[in-house]
Formats: sequence, structure tokens, C-alpha cells
Amino acid sequence: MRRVGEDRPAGKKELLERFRKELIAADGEFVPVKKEKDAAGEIIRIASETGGDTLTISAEEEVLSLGRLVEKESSLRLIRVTDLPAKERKEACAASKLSLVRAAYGIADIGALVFPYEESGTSWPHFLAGCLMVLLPADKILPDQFEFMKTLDKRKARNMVLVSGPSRTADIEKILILGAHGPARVVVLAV
Amino acid sequence: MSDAVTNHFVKADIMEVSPKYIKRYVKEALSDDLLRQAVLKATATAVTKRQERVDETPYWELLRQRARSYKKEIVDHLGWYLDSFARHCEEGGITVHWAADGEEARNIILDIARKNNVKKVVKSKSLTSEEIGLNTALLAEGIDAIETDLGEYIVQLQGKIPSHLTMPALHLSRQDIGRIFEKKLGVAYTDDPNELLGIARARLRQHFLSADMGITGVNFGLAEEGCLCLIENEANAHLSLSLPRVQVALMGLEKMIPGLEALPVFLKLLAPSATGQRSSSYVNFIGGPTRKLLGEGPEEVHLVLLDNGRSRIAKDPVLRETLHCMRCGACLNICPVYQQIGGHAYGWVYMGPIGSTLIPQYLGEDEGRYGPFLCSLCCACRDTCPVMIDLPSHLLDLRNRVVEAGKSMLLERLGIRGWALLARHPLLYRLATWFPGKAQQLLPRGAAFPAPGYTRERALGRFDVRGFRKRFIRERSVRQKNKNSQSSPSSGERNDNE
Repeated sequence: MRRVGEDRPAGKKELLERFRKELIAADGEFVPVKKEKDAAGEIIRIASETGGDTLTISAEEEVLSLGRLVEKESSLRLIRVTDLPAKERKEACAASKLSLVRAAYGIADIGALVFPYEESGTSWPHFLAGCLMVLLPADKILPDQFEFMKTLDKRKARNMVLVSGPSRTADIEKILILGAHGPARVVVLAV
Repeated sequence: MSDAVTNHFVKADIMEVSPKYIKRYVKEALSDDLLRQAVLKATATAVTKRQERVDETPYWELLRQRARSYKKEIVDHLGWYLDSFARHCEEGGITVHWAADGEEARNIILDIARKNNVKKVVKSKSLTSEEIGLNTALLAEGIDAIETDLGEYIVQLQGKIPSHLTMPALHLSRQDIGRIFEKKLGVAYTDDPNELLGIARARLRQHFLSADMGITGVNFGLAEEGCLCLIENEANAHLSLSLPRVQVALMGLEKMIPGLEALPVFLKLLAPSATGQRSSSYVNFIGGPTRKLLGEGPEEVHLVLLDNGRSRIAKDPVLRETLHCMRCGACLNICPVYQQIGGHAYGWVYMGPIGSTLIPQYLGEDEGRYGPFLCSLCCACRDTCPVMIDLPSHLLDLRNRVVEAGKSMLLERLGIRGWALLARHPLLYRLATWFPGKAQQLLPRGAAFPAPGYTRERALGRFDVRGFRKRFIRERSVRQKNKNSQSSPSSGERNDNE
């Protein structure tokens, strides 16, 4: 007898591996990092590849701390979403090539990232920059959507988005092109 | 963005279609080889990719059964779930409006736009908004309504409606799109898909940043949580709901599901069925206004719940099942009729097997009388449908209803009456089946009767000169003899000995 979720990964290591595999299948990039310093180094490397000089960041404590380190070790200019009024922030986010945010959860079976913006109040950095970098605590990876819906605090989940890889379209002759209206590149920094 | 650039939407000669003219549309589609090539290529890719996803999901059939039972539960208790859904939406700050038909829905949305002094609307793909002709109403009010899904943007520039539920510009080649952009956007011609996307992205980004209102559809309304769920790949839906001051979501009553815990079942079925992906790139949850926090997202979220015949369909003991549809488009991709004629031939915003069932139900048995006949009854759609809708049975049922309502074609009615007359009079029947074979002998050797129209696309065989009845009796006796000789013990023994 078949069972829904029977392909669910069991251990922590398998979860991380499944997440990595599915993220890559969805055209995302997976970079495991051990320390904050390593993460900062990766961000600086990606920034040099992308050619961006500003980094828009969301307001979570881990992101702010990592942002400060990146600012210290590179010439990247930091734009904190809480620093600017909405109108200026909108333009800054739209002009920025790079953004750094934190995901609340990862979902292994579809390589998805979960961003509840009920509390953070922001989703522009997640959608307007060309390259989205995401800090994901490895212990926050859940096996599948069924498990995720059970784990979710439903009061905080009213405004939320699940992201699986870059923005995409195949509306022209079914040819897949990344970066339709949102980021063309999604890099997960798994801590 | 200058007015010169946006004016093409106002002046667009929006395609006027009606299922009344299906015969003409089908004829045009069948003579368009490029269209058929484009449709065949796109649908074949979609079918292959879907099958890959199905093969890798060991519990696919179980998911289909679960989705079907969730949808059945909703449709069986539609009133109860609607009340619960609307109450929970309002608790979260969503303003709920009830629209009995398309006109009421258009008026509600125009009223919201007037109150908020809206000049520009960005729209993410919504078939329900196509169903009520929303763009035309907004344009008539002097509001720029810009489609932001790439495929929808292309067909809007072309002045047409989508030709597929999930791939709106499937009927166009990249060269067609290059020419449309050149003509409507005033850019240099290119047929490079990356460059074409770059042009659209740059134009639409400016519209996102300056729009006053976003209009979206809804894939799933979560009754228990009072949340709207919106699935997409391009990020245009999220930008449409998070950048403008006002958001309007237009939702058909049937789009509800019980709640968050049922959602994964539908998510696991929808993306593979629609696009052959494991998961769509974005799953948005909208639970109310968010602008008070950091100034992002809408100040007002309005939900327009559209009936437009749905509650009537929910009362039909048989056809209510058609309300289970998720609009994934899988039945279109597998349908041999759709593969040949594409979407515009159906003459309305819903097409393919599901469209053929919805056209007469929404538009009536007069205007939609031809819809149920665009089907070969091969049943592939039933096997493909992620929520197990028995589409071929519903199409047969609708054919019966069209005939009973006296709306079938005159030639067909006359033909059936003629046959009924012959069937009641055996002598006349014999004559009628004997005569064509004899009359045919007057034609040049080997020639069949001329049948203008029919023989343009296919060959017509010759009648048997003995007449149908004699041939039938003879062949029946031969079959009977063969059967007797096979089943007789002596023949069995003889075979054994051999």
C-alpha cells in the first residue's frame, strides 16, 4: 500500500542532501558554510561575479551581523531595509543587484525556502534584486510540505511566500529563461 | 513610462470571440499549419515533463484521490465553507465582496479603483478576470490595465486572449513575438528569447513600481485560515500584490480548499500537471494588509468572490464535479482535438476538454452548443486530470442536454430524424442501405460519392455494391460458421492430432 510522503528523508544529513539536490534541480545554488566569516567571504565572491556595489539586507539579527562583517571586509555598500522610508527603499531595492535575507525554514522535498513577512514586514529585497542570497540555518530544514504545514504557527503564516529557485518563464516557445521578474539567481548559504 | 508607450493597451483591438462561431474558428485553425506545429510542440513537451514527474511520485494516485475527496467535500458543502472562509478573511483584515455575476464583479472592482483614485493597474494572470472581461471594463474607465505575466503581456500586446490555461502565448513563435514587440513597443526586432524577456522585464518593472493597484487571481482559498494562496513562476504576482497600495484578488467560489493541511496535496499535483515542475517557483500566502509594518505591501486587500453560475452548477448532481478543476491545463495538453486546433478555436477564455464542459454551463446551451462536441471521447483527459474529473462523461451528458434543448445542428437533427424514420420501416431501411451501392455504379470506376468539405481533409470509402444489409447477413453467417468450427470437439481433436 502506497503512503503519501513515503519518500521522506529520515536523518539530518539526508535532509540536507535532499534539500541541496532539489534546490539545484530548481536552478538554485547551494553553498554550505561553517562560520559567519566563511559566509561573508562567499557573499563578497558572489558580489564580484555579479558586479554589484550595494547589498540590500533584511532586518533579522543574523543578517544584520553578517552584513556588518561584509561591509567591513569589502567595498560593498549596505542598505538596511529598516534604514529607508518605503519610497526610497523601493527604488533602492529595485536598483540593487544583490540582496541578503534569512529564511525561516527550508523544505527538503522541493528545495524551497520559507519567508514569513508577517513579522519582518519586508519582501522587496527577496524579489527586486537580481541575485538573492539566503541564510538558512541547517537545523530549520523540514522533510516536506506536509511536515511544514504541521510545524507552522498559523497565526504568523498569514502573509508568507515559499520560494523554489529563481524566477522563471517558459512563455516563449517553452524555452526556459531565468530571471523573469524576480531574481535570476538564488544562492542558499546553509549554516 | 511615457503615455506613448502605454497607449497601445487603451487602443488595443481586443479580440472578440464567441463560442457561437466555433465552426469558423476550427476551420481557420486547421488550415494554419504553423499554429498546429506550435501547439503540437508545446503540448508534447508538457505531456512528457508531466509524465516524468508522475513516474517519480510513487503515491501519485493516492494524491489524486485525496484531492478529489477534498474538492468533493467543498462542493458538497459550498455554503458552509464559503461562510467560514469569508469570516476568517475578514478577521485578517481582508474586505470581502460578493459578486453574483461578471457585471457585479466589474462594478465592485471599478468602484474600488475610483475610491482609491487608481490610474494604473498591474495584473497577474487571472482566468477569472478574463471570464468577466475585466480589462475591457478598466480600459473603458480610463485605467491602464497591464498584464504582467510574460505570456499574458504578449497576448495583450497582440490584442488577443490566451490560447492555453497556463501557457497564454503558446500559439506564437519567437519570430511572431519579436514582430509584436517591434510594432507595439517600438523596439528593434529580435527573436532572441533572452532579449525579448529583457525588453518585457524592463518595461514591466517600471509599471510595477508606479502602479496604484494590483489585481490577482487566487489558486486556492484556505477556508480554515482565511488566507489566499497564489502560485506562480515569474514573481509578477508577488510584485503585483506587494508594490501597489491596493490589492484586489478575484476568486471563483469553487477555488476553496479546507485549509493549510490540505494544501500540500494540491501543490504536489498542480505544478507537475501544469508545467511539469516538482514545485512552482513561488507559493504566495496573502492574509491581509501588511503596509502598516514597514510600508510594504497593500494598505487594503479586497477579495471579490465571484459566483457567475457556479452555485447553480454546484446544485447539479452530475456536472458539479466540473467545479473541482484547478485550471492546470493538463487535459488540454493531452487532448488530440486541442493539439490540432489550439485554444482560440474554442471561442472563449476556457478551452480544451474542461473548457468544452464550462462553455455551455457558463454561457448557456444556445451560445455554447458546439463546445461539448469538440471531443473525440478518447478519455485521455480523464486519466490525466489531477482531481479525477470524468470529463468525457460530462461532455456526453452536455451533448444530450444540447440536443434535448433543441440546440443541435439542423443537419444533424434532420439526419437523426431520417434515420429514425428508416429504422421504424424495415423495407425503407433495406432500400436506403441498398441504393447507395447501386447508384455508385453510375460513377466512374473506383470513384466515391463527392462529399464537399468532408473529402478535403480525408478520404471517403466506396459503398459495398451488395448493399449494407446483404453484406451484414453474409459476414455474420461466416463468423458464425468459423465460431462453430473452432468450438466443435471434432475440430479440437483434429488440431490435437495435427
